[in-house]
Amino acid sequence: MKLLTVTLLLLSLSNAFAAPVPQELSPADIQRLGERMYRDGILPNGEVMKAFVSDDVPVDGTAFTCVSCHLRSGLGSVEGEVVTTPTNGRILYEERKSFIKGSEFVPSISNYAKYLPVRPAYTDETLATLIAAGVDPTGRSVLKVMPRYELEDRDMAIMIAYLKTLSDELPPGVSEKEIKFATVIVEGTDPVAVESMVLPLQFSVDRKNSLAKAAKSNDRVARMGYNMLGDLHSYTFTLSRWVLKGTSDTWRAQLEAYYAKEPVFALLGGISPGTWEPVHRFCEEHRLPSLFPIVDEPVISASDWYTQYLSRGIRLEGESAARYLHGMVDLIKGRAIVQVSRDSRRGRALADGFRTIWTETGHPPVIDITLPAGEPLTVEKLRQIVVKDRPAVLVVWDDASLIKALSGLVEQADRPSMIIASGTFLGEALWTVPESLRAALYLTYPYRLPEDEKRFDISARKVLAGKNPNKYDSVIIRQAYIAQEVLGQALMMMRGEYYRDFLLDTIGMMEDMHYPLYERVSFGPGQRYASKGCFIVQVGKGDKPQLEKRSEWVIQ
Amino acid sequence: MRNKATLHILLLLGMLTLPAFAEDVKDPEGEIAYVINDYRYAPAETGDDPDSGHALCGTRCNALSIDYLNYLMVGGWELRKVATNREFTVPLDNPFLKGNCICTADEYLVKVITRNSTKPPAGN
Amino acid sequence: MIIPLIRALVLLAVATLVFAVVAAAAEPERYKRSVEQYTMPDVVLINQDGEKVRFKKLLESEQPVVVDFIYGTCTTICPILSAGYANLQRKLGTDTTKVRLVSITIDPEYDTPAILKEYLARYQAKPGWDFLTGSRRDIDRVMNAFDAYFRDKMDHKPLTFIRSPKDGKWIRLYGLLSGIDFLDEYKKAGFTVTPGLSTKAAVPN
Ligand code: HEC
Repeated sequence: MKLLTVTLLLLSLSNAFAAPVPQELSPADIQRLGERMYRDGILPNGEVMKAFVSDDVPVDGTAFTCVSCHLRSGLGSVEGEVVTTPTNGRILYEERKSFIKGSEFVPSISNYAKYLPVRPAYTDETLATLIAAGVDPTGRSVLKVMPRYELEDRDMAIMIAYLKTLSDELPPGVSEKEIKFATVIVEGTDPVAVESMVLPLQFSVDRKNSLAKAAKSNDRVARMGYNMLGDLHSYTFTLSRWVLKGTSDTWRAQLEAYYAKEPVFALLGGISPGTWEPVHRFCEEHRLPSLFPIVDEPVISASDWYTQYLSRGIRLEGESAARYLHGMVDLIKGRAIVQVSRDSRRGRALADGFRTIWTETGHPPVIDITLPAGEPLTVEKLRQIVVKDRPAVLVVWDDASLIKALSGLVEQADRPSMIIASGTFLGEALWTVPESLRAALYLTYPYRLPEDEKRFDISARKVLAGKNPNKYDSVIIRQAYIAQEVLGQALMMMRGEYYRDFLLDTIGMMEDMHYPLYERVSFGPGQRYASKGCFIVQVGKGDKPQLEKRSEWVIQ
Repeated sequence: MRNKATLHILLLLGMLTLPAFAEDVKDPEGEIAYVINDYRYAPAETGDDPDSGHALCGTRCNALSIDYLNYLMVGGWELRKVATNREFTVPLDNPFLKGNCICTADEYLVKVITRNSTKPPAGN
Repeated sequence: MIIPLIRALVLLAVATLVFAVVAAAAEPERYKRSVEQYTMPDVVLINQDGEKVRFKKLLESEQPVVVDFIYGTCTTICPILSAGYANLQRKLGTDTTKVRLVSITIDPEYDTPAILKEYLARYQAKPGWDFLTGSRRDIDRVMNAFDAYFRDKMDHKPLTFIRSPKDGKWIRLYGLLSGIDFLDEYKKAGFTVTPGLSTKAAVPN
């Protein structure tokens, strides 16, 4: 029955579709309505798009739609054994040959053309037939993975017009020979941190540029470079520093001015001791990718697109603590959990992360106590809490000064059975936790453990060659190292299609990576926080203690 | 880098499982690493909740497991299997539940690969 | 950023493999089927409601069980597998819980219970369809138990498993099945669907 409908549709479409783009719609309308079909599966009239997939399985556009497979840039995806071909007008309206001329030897996925059936260029009519009936201009019925969409002529015309706008003209910041980047530096950031962030980025840009230069004068280098990188080998990169001054409400204007003067393809790295929100917003609005700014407090959003962060920042530690505790909640049997947090950026982010996950996992709120900024945490203060609420678990988000207060508490009879604190908030002081406190104290630790990290030193050493490592921040060096690695990998995978959305799509298709610093970083379409892990550790015995894992990297 | 890529190829060519070298590795130097295969809870007293114990032992034992891609993907390191399904007992170490965990693990010796240079080629 | 030649060659190898299979899949060949005996690990996973699930117990059930491996942000394969699950649930009529549909994430890094829940809602999943996450090590063991180890989520393959409570054997299906094929396989495993009710259940909720 359904097959019959599809067949009839095919028959009627193959000779009848010629609907022009509706006159009354402006290009902006087309863009908006087309985008809604392509990304949200909603028709211009507000109804849900309908399709059949795998022959006879009906699906709603709200479950998945074009963007799920062809991705936001329209340049397609590869997953396991399934290749989703590009669906942007520029490529569709071009003949697909058995290879892409000039790239016969380029070992990138641009070679996919070799393994896909050839087809002539689409026309509006044949494209409509493909979308509605899954039959390409050669008469081939394409894989059943590609759904068959029931679209009215008018909607089909809007869809096709929209496909023509996808990944069409090269974005600002990219020319035939050069790709421009900038890194945003918020004034007031510790200069050591800034230098540590910039060093790996500049290292990588310089190295790339020297290859491009060498390739110009040396054919053998050029050939090798070409074989490795395709056309990317001859590109040079630029990296500007955009310094933001004054209060954060003035950053927007500064960013606009920088961007007007030098439109870049993407922001790379970047650093701020506090908020990043204005830069994040700026990137969303200009559709400007921003890769791995080094910030404690990234903007948390499930739908924003343009900023790829290293992790959810310090709040991830609070979230992980809540998940860890959730795993033993049945045993706590309703006894109190108290969260004490410093009224500072970090303290608030940690407490909020904990609270959010704790509530999300279905538990009643914990007892929340805020420590005013500047007021030291004392044993007396903790004793009061213990006497009053008799908590089974005490979560304390504060800096190194909490060690002294907690040590005083250990001798207390009714002390909490478990104390949780942040390893990064404690900083180096975590190595000074006294023996008496170690059994009760659980720490969040969002990095690979030090003894394992030594296997990853090579990469940091490469960047630091000839420099004094003590003058740099070892965490930030590694973070910026990751930024340039991911960018390099992605540009290579992009096979010459240097479009902004495709950069993010490409990163979304990368495998999990085992870089320095984080046990694992992972990507995925729309995923924007690369490192998802945070160990719960305890400090081991002895004078030179090691950290002992009490959880896996990711706690669910 | 090059080693990492080589390993990558090996992985792709189907060596997805860890190399199972001879059981009797003579050279004992190097660190021991575990890949956890199973876990069980051994309650201390009869009243201890076996389901919670099982779940917590999962966390406790799995925490001792390495993510072996973290060794194979770096380059310059090698994992040699020295024992299969070895059982060992660790205290649950949880303030809310007594008892032990029995973890079952494959045991590996982590070694620096000396056959090839681990240094990246010059200029890379 | 200079990627060694060898790494590039890997990409080529991947491309070759990938596209060879695609070319084959373009033929009418549909899916591969086998009957297997698997031993399930006794691990604790977590479902879309954040509840702990004793995995072995869940699967060794008196009810028919179907298992697949997906993840929240996956592109092509998961939509197809999940549309198949949703379709089966529609065909089952009012009592969707008589078949246990289990999806297991292969991206436990990202897939929190909240993500699982949101995913199920997108497919209008009804009671009886659970989506599980958990410790990476435990999920590795589950994948191994099904002889379906994916080193990386980007190596994902379309696999569906159907367990018959009669003998505890698993039908292993490799490929992207049509709705009819899926129902046929399901019936071959000895189960029935109640056609009379299916239209009623198909009314969107
Ligand atoms: C579930 C995944 C999926 C969804 C959703 C999807 N596609 Fe596809 N599409 C594919 C796959 C896979 C192919 C390649 C099929 C083949 O060549 O055999 C394809 C092919 C195409 C082609 C043909 C390209 C060519 O070069 O011949 C077009 C055009 C296309 N899709 C447009 C769309 C549009 C428009 C939508 C949304 C209305 C959409 N697709 C939704 C997976 C999908």
